[in-house]
Amino acid sequence: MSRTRVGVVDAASPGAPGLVARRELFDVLDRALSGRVTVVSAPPGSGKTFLLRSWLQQAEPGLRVAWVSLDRGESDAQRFWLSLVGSLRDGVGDNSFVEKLTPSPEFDGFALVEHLVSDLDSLDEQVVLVIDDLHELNSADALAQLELLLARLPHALHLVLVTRRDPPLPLGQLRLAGDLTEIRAADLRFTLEEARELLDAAGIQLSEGALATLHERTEGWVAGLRLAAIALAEHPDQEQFVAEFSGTERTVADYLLTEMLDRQPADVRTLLLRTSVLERVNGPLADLLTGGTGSERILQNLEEGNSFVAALDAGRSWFRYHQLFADLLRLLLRRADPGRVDELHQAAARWYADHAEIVDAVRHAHAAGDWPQASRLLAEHMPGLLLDGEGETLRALLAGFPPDAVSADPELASVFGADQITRGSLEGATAYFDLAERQAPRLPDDRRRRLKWTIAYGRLLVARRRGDLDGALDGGWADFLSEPQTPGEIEFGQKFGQKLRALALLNLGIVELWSGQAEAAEEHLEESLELARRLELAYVEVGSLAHLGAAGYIRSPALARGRCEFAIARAEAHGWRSEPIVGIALVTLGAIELWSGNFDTAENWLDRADQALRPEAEPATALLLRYARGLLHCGRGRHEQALREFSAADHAPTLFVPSQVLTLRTRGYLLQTRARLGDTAAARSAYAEMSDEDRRWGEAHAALAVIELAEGNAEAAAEAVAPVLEGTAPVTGASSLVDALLLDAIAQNQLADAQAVAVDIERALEVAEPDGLVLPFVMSGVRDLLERHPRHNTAHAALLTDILDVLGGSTSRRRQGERAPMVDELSDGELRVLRFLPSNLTAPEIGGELYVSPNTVKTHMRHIYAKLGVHRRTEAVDRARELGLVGPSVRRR
Amino acid sequence: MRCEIVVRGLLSETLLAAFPTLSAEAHGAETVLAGTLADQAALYGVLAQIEALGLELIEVRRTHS
Repeated sequence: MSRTRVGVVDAASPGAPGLVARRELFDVLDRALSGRVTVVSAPPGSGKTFLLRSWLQQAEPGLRVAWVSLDRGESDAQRFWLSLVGSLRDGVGDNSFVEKLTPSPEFDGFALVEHLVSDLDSLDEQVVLVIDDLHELNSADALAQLELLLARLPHALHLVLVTRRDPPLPLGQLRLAGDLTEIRAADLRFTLEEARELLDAAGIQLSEGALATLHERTEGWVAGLRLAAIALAEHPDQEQFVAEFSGTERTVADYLLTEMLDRQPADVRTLLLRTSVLERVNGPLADLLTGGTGSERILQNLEEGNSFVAALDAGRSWFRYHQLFADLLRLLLRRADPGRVDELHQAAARWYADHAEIVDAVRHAHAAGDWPQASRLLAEHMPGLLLDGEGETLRALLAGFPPDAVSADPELASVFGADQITRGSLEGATAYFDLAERQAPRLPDDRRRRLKWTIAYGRLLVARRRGDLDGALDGGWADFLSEPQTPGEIEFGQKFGQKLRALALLNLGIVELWSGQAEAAEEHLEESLELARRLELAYVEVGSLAHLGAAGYIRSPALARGRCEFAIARAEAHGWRSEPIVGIALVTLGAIELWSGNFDTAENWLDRADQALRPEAEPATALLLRYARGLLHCGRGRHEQALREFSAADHAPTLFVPSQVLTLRTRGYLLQTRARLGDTAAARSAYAEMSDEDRRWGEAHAALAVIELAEGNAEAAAEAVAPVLEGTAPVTGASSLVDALLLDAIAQNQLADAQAVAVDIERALEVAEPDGLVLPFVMSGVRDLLERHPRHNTAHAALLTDILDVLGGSTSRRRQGERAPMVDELSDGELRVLRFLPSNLTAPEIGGELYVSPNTVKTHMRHIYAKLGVHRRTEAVDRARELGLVGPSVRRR
Repeated sequence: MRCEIVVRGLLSETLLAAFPTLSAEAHGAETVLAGTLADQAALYGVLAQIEALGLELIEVRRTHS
C-alpha cells in the first residue's frame, strides 16, 4: 500500500465510536463554507479530526470532499502533492478536472499548483479539501507551494487546514475579508453536556457529581474524556475511579492511558505496546512483533471500540494509532521493556524490506541504530527510489545517519553521491564517488559489483551534466549492458539491475545524441524504451521517446515529429506538462516548425520548452533552445535579438562542452548576424579567433561570405563559399549547404552572372526540398532572386511557393488553412498515426513507435483514408499537407 | 544554555523518560524540568516533545548558574 492516504481513510469507519454530534461547531463549519478557508488549530487530543469527520458524516450527501492526512514529519513535497491530487480526483468525482499524476524525478510543485488552479477554476460545484495534520509538513518547498495555492485558491475550493499549531501561511488578508473561519482549543473543549453524551454512548452511567468532577479534571479535553470512557468501561467502581483521578496531580493523558492499559487483557496490552514502534500496523506485522496470532482480529476490535485506533483502508487491514496515544505507548514500552525496542525495529525493518517498502524499512533500521542494514537497503534500491521521484525522502533518510557513518561505508557514500547530483553539486558527487571507490574492497563480490555500476552510473550523470561527452561514454558500459544476468542478480538484485540498466541506456543515448552519434543514440534509446515499457518506468519511457524524436530528426523530420508528439502525449498522460525531460521534444518540434517557416507555431513550442527546461539539468537542450530562438528572430528579421540569443548560446557554462555541430552552427550564425548588423570588424576578429579545425567547416565559410558581402566584396564572398559548393568543405547538415548556395547566388547576382544565380537557386531548392527547409531562404534575403526564378522551369515549384508565401508574410495558405475542423474529426490515435505517414515507416513499424499492434495502425489508417476521402497513403499525405495536418513539403525521393 | 521549563501537572517516570537530559522537580501541581541544553534547536526539540505528549506548557526561562 502507498504511504500516502486519501479520502477513503476516513470513509472507512462509518460507525467510528464516540462521535458526539457537536451541533454548534457543525453550524460554525456549515457557515464557514461561504468563506474560502477554515483553520482548525489546537493541541493534540482536542478532537480536531473527530469533529471534521463527524461533521462530514452528517453533511448533505452531495457535498464533495477530498481528504489528505499527512504522515509524520512529511518532508517530501512531491509525496504531499501526489496524495493531495489523488484525493482531489476522488473528491471531485469528475476526473477531467484534475489530471492523474505519476511521481517524477523532476517534480515541480509550483508548476503543479499553477496547473491545478487553472484546471479547478472551471469547477462550479464546491469541493471541501481537508488537509489533516498540516503541522507535520516539514518541507519549506511544500509550504511555499501551499501558500501559492492559497493565494490563487479556485472559487469552488474550500480549504480546511487541521493543525496543532497555527500554520506559517499568510492568513491575515483572508481574515480581514471575512473569508477565514477559525476553530481553536477553547471552541473544541467538550461541554458538560457533551461529556455526558460521550459517556452515555460508551454505556457509562456516572452520578451528576462524578460527571462534573471528571469534566472539571479533564477541562473538557476530548482525548482525556475518551481515555476515561475506555478505562471506566472496564472499571469495577466507576465513582471511585473518578475520585482517585481527581485526587492526583498527574497529567491527564498519562494517568488515564496507564489506567486504560492496565484494564486490557494481556495480549491486547502487549500488542499495543510493541506495535507502538510502527507508524501503521496490520495483522501480519503485529503477529510478527508479538509472536502471536490473530492480531488482525484484535486490531479490528480495537478500532470498533476504541477511538484511538483508526483503519486506513476500506478493507480494514491497515491501522494507525492516534499520535498522542502512540507517543505515550512508546514511552511506556521504553520503560516496561527497554531491551526489546531495537529488536522490534529490526524485525519491522526486515518485514518492510521483504515487502518492498524500502523507505519504511530504512526508517526502522535507523531507529534500531542498524546503520549497515539501512545503508545496504538504500544502495540496493536507489535506482527505484530516484525513478519514483523520492529524492527528498532519500535526502531526509540520509540526514538520519550519524555524521561519521559515511566515511567507512562505500555503499552509503555512493548514495550520498547520487543525492549530491540531485542537489546540483557535481563536485560533491564526485568526491563521494571517489570515497566509495576507495572503500569498495571492503565489500563482498556481488555487492562490490553493484557498487561499481552505481558509481559508473553516477559518473555518467555527472559527465552528462558537464557536457563532458567523452568522459560520459568512457564508463565501460558495454560490459554492464552485454553482461548476461547471473542467477544471483535475477533472484535478488534483478530490479536494481534492470532499473539501473534502463537509466544507464537512457543517459548513454542522450550523451551519444549530443556527441553527434545519432545511430548509436537511437539504438540505446530504443533499448531503454523497451525496458521502460516492460518495467513500467514512466520517466524513462518519456525521456527515451523525447530523445528518440530528436535523434530521428536527421533521418526524417516526419519521424521526429511523430515521436516528439507521442512523447508529449505520454508525458501528459502522467500529468507531466513541464518536466525538463520533455524539453528536448518541445525544442525539436519548435525547430521542425521553424525550418519549415511556421514561425508562430514554432514560437509556441519554444515557449513551452522555456517553461519546461531547467538549464542546469539539461545544459545541452538549453543551448539548443537559445540557438533555435536566435534562428526564429533571424527568420523574423530581428537581428538584434537574434544576436543576443546566439551570443548566449555561444557562451556556454564554463564546465560544459557543447557538441561540435551546435558550436559550429551557433558560431556561424552569430558571425553572420553581426555582419548583417554592420559590425563586420567584430565579425572578422571573431572569425580570426576560430580554430583552424572550425574554419574548415562550411558554417565558417558561409560566415566569412556574409562578412565579405557586407563589405561589398562579392568576389571574395563567392570564393569563400566555393569549397562548400564543391564539396571539399564539410557541413553539419543540409541547411548549411543551402546557406552557402544562397550566399553564392547573392554574390553571383552582384557579379551579374544570371545563369550562375539560377543554378544556385535551383540547387538550393533541391537540397532544401526533402526536409522542407524554408528558413534559409528567408534568412538570406534572397526574395528578389526567388521571385525572378522561373517557376515554369523549376522542379520545386511547391517549395518555392511556400517560401514566397512566408516571405510575403502570409502564413494562412495551406499551413493554417482548414486545420481546425479537420483535427476534430480525427481521433487522437488517428492523428498520431497520421503524423508518421509521410515517413517511410511500414504499418508494423509505426505500431512499434506508438506501442500499438500493426492491426490497430491499419484500422487507424483505414479511418484516416475514409475521413480524408482518399484511397492511398500518398494521397492521404498530400491531403493532410493541404489541410496543414502534417509538415509542408516534406518529400522523400 | 541552562533552562527551566515549567509544565502543568506531575509527570510520571514514564513521561520523564521523554526528557532524558533534564531533571524534574515537582512544585505543587506543576513540574519544573531543568537542565543544560546544547542550543536553541535542542530547546525546540524539548518543546515539540511537550506538545506531542499533550502537556500544557506554562513557562520557559533561561537561568544562569
